[in-house]
Amino acid sequence: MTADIGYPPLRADGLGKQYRRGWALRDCSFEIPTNRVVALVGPNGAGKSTLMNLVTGITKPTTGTVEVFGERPSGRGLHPRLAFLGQQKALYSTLTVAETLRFGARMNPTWDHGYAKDLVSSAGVPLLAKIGTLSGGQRTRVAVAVALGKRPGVVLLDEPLADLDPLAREETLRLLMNEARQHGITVVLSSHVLAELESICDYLLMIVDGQVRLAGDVRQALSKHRLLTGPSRTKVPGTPVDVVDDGTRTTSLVRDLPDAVLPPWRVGPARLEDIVLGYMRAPATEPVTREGRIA
Amino acid sequence: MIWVAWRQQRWQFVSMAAVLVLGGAALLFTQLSMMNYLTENGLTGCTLPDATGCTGHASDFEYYDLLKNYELAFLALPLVLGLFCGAPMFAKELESGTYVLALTQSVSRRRWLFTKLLVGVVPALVVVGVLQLLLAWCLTTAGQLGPLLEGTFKSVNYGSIGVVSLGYTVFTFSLGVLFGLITRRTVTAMAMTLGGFVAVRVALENVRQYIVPAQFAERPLGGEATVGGPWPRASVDLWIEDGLIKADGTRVTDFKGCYGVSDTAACYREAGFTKTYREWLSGSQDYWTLQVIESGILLGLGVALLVVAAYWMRHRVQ
Repeated sequence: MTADIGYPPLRADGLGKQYRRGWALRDCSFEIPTNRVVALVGPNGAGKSTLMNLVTGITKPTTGTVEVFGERPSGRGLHPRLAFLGQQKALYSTLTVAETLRFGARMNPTWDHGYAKDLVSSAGVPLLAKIGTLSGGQRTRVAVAVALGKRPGVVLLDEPLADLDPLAREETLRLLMNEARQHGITVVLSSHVLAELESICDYLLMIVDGQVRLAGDVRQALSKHRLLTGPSRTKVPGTPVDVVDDGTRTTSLVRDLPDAVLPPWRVGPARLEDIVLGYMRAPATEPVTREGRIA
Repeated sequence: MIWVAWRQQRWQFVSMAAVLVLGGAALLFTQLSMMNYLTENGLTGCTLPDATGCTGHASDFEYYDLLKNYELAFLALPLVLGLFCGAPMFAKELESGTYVLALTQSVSRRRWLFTKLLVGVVPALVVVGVLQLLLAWCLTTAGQLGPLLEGTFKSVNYGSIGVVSLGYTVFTFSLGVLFGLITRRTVTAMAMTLGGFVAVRVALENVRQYIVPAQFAERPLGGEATVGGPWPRASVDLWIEDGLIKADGTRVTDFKGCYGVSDTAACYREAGFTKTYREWLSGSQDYWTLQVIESGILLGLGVALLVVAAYWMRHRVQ
């Protein structure tokens, strides 16, 4: 499995998908580096799921290309180094846990059965239980095991935490982080709740209205942005991403702030959440290039 | 992958096995007890098409209704298999979203389609094939005392003796699979499969006599000697048409000018006719030619449907 060296896990070029109701994704270009935990964020309906479906080849792009370790998705099945866990966490509910793992083994030549079994049994999921009888957390555990059992280099998870209670969320995230770190897997997680991902992700891919609004390293993004507060109806210095004036006070997310900021402006650090909210609110601009706006 | 396909269709497989065992046992039991009955009552000779002195036996042959019911059940078997095994095969996965799981493994779409299909259709063909052989054995044993009295070309008999039932099985399965892929709804796919099955069945029943050239024979008016072959036997052959031939060779099928005339032969001669003719399909040769051709048509349709299904799977399932 060294064939993918030199290729990024994921790369999109002018990627677009048009449905009958309009463009779900348009002119997306980005490149995700190896060994990252990527937060794919954006409001509901922004195109996150469409992007994931394009990467897995479940849907075909209308324009542009997407590559997984340098290969375009085809009808020949998923790239052996790519694993996917869809929003519905589809599993056959009449199969037992053991049968589900066997399914993974029969459908994937690179399957590591001992590893997949460990992932399931370490969480205390009974192997002989039917999938339909499991709790949401247990189901997720099995679905993650089916995804990781093929020993992928990159794993895509579409809203994996959406239907879980806080305990199961925490547990699922910890599992993903451990596996990613131990096995050098690039993890792409989508969510519309950024707070969940803030503590673990180190790369941000933000999609708004079907376009990439922000792509790049989280640390770099944090160092490049500041949150300014000041009086109402005053011009914000630097390059404001968005400006919120509530009549008494102006709050603004600013990129590449000049060294000295004069009063009455007060400068504070921008948290990841501030940055994401700021860019979501910002009026649509030209789409970012593959190099990204922050990188 | 075969294990996966088998596991997903385990219930269909078990049901098919049950149909095979129960149906097979019933047919075998009927066959043996019927053979016994025929010998005990000295009726073995009455099963033959040209038997004489057997009038009346057919009406009180106690296996007649039973055999007829077997035939009707057998006729529905390919349809039932296509409806309950073919139509839900992919419709259920598309309906419940599990197709996403299947399509995001390292197995190609085509392999997923054909492995599931073969694991479903091969046992179905075995069930239909074995039951067909047993049913045909029963029917030929009963011969003219049983449903074959109405002729081998009679729709229920035609579907029960020969390979055409296998053709229908392949066709209905393919139809169910394709409709399942297109509609993504199990119930809709089943309803459409039923409609498609009935349409093709009715169409084939109605074009049957045009598929192979008919046997032809003529005989001079009032004469006995026939040219071109023996007259058809109603119990074995399929009568198509008969009529009169003029001296110049023109054929007339429904000449009504001599109705009610006592000496019809003289009347026909006066009207310019010289010979009578008859057209039919032979139960011995044409029957099997037709069985093979119709099975071929059904198989061809099935393959065409699967080509569309493969295209649909590749490009439209998303």
